[in-house]
Formats: sequence, structure tokens, C-alpha cells
Amino acid sequence: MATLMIDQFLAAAPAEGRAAYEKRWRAIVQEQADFVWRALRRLGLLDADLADAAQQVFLVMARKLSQVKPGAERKFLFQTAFRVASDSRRTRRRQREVPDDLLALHTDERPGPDQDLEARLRRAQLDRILDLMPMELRAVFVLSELEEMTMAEIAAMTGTRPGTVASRLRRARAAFSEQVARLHAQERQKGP
Amino acid sequence: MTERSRPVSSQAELAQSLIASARLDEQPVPDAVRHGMLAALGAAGAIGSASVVAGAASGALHRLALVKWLAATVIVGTAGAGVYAVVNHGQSSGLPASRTNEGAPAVGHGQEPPVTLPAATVDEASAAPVLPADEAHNDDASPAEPRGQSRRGATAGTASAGKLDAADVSSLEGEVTTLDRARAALAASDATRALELLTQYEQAFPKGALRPEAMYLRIQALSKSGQRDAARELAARFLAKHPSSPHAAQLQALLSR
Repeated sequence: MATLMIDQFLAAAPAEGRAAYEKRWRAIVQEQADFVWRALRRLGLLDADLADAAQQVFLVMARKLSQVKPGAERKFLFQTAFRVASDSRRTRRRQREVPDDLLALHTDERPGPDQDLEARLRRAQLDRILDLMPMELRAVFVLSELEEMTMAEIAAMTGTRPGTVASRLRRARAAFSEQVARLHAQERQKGP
Repeated sequence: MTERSRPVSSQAELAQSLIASARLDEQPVPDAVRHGMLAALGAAGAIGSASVVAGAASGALHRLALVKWLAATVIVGTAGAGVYAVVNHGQSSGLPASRTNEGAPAVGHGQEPPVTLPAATVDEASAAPVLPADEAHNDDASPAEPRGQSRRGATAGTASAGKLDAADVSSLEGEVTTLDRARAALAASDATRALELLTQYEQAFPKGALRPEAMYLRIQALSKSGQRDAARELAARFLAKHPSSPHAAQLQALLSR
């Protein structure tokens, strides 16, 4: 089936068609914006890059809206967010190495005076641990452990087979446990 | 600088506290970003006037790239915010100016968007897996923005059919639209048309905020049309005015040939 590009579609669309399109778009933003924002954050986007990345994800969605089946919006958005986050990670990797010391935090990652210091510190350490995972593992780990999705839901969301999801989740959990053990040892070594 | 957190009694407790810390991510999208998302449909060329649809053929991501380029090199403060408003189709984004600098290097060497997305990722109909096997992960995936000559050619054709209308002339959006048309013509190897559009731009916007971008496009158009001496002369003038432009290295290379 030939797929109409969105601009061609709308150029020929009657006014009521446009209105329906815009209504669908508002509903998508209303229902999915927070999820995309959170997913980008958990896939490794820095706070400073989040707004740009979220905008890019929705621009891609807007251009492909006519091709996305109703009900598949969240899947499409997550997959696009995954690619945006992957590109961002490659850029950051070129700019700096991920330090070995899980306790060491850059000044911009340290908690602010009015924040819950313990939680903010742990969040930064979690990021560091997730940064050490390949993106495919990170995505599955995030969806399973942080978004609390089932393996079937993750398979549908990522467009991969359930067996692949299970395998990746097992590897991701092993990588997470390994880093937690390492962090635990570091903290014990440094003492209170 | 090194910070330490409170020692925990067990690895399990540590793992639990790390996972629990992700709750900090559960915050609503800032209003300004949400407005930008709502406006994305228009910015992508899906909804709007004929001129916007024609301009959108060269891509909303190109437009975003243009904004970043400007923020990095030419426009600061209110002018930069104004251009962002164009992307958001008149809505005040409320985004900090510094945000626009984030991807500047990525767009500094031409017209490619800062982030490339594989067709498989954005093509729902293809049902291609987006999270590939580790071994097969394709770092050089083709971008979402179509590069095919046929699409660009169609764009140039659409652009050449229209003249600048009053709405174009009255706003920054008109500037962006005109330069998008010029860029599309250039991408379709129609340098003559690109030069015509750039002349239209310069006449319509003698004090336009995007004149440096227009100048850069003209250098490219002149070079493509075989007017190398004129291209080199303009490149030298561009570098004198904008020595720290992301395009500087590219133009220096042109001059050194």
C-alpha cells in the first residue's frame, strides 16, 4: 500500500479531516508527553538535552502521523526516543569517557541544597550504572524495572521477540547486579 | 569532586534504593516543552498554509537545525527566542536561550539535522525491530529525513510555483520558509532557482535575522552553479563577519582549494 506523506495527505484533506488530525495530535501529546519525557530521561538524556530531544521525538511523530496506527502511538514514540537517546549517547561518548568510580559525581550532577540528597545521589549513581549498559539492555531494563512492564508488553513496545526480551533482561539484571556489588564494595571500603 | 552517599547495609537494599530513586523522573513535562510538542504538528508542515506545507518539504528537523545554527553563531537573546517561536508556530516556547546551543556542532557542517533516525524506526508500517540485536546495531542508519532526489525535486517544483506572499514577508516564518525553499532547490541541484529565491529573500528581508544563513546558502549555490570566484569572494566576506561560525571550517576549505 502506498503510504501518503503527511503533507500530501493534509493538502488533500478536507477541513473536517484536518480537525480530526489535530484532535488526534492533541490527544497524543496529552497522553504520551510525560511518558516520552520520562523515557528519554531514563534512556540517558541529560537534563540540559531533554527539551530538545522531546521536541525531536514529537517532530518525527508529527511527520509520520498518517502512518502510525491508532493505538501504536506509544510504541512509535518509545522507539523514536530510543534512537534519539542512542544518538545522544554516541555524541556524549565521543566527548567524555564514563568514569570508573561510581561514587564520583560531576558537579552538575550533585544534588541541590533543597533536594532530597540521598535520592538525588542514588539517581545519579543509577544513571552511571545504566550508562554502562548497551542501549538495547538499558531499554529493556528501564521498561521492566522502572516502568514495571511485563515481558510481553516490552516485546510489543520494542518490536522484538519475547525470547530476545527475556535474554536481554537477564543480561541487564546481571550487569546491574554486578555494578551494585561494585558500588556497595566502594561504599564499604570508604566507610561512613 | 567526589560525593559519598550513606552506606547501606546490604547490596539488596542498595539495589532497591537505586531503583527507587528513578521515581525522581516521574515529573510532568514542563509547560513550555508541552507547547512545543503540540506545535510540532504544524512545524512538521502537516497543518498550515500552502506556503508552510511547501516549506516543510525540506523538513521540520532542518528548520530546527537552522534555529540551532543561528543560536550558535548569530542571534542571541530576543532574536533567538523569536526564531524558536517560528519553530513553534507563534507560540512562546519559554525555553532558555542556552538550550538552543546544545546541538550546534552537529549541524555546523551543512544541512543535516542534529539527530538522524533510521527509516525503520519511524516507519510504523514496516514493523521493523527498532531495538536490534547487539551485533546488528546499525550506527550508520539512514536518517528519517528523506534524502531522495525525487522528493527534493518535488519540493523545488512546489517552491518555484509560489511567490512570497504578505504573510511570508511579515514574519520570521516567512524568512524560514523562503530559505527552506532555497535549500530545497539547492538539494535538487537547481542552483539557479536557489539563487533566485535567495535574491527574493534579500529583497524581502533587507534586515532579516537569517541573512547569514542566506549568505551561506548563496555561497553554496554559487559554487554549485560554477561561479567559483564569486563563491570564494563571498566566503571570504562571510568569514570576516562570522569567524566563529560552525560553517567556518567548511568555508576555509573552499577558500584553500
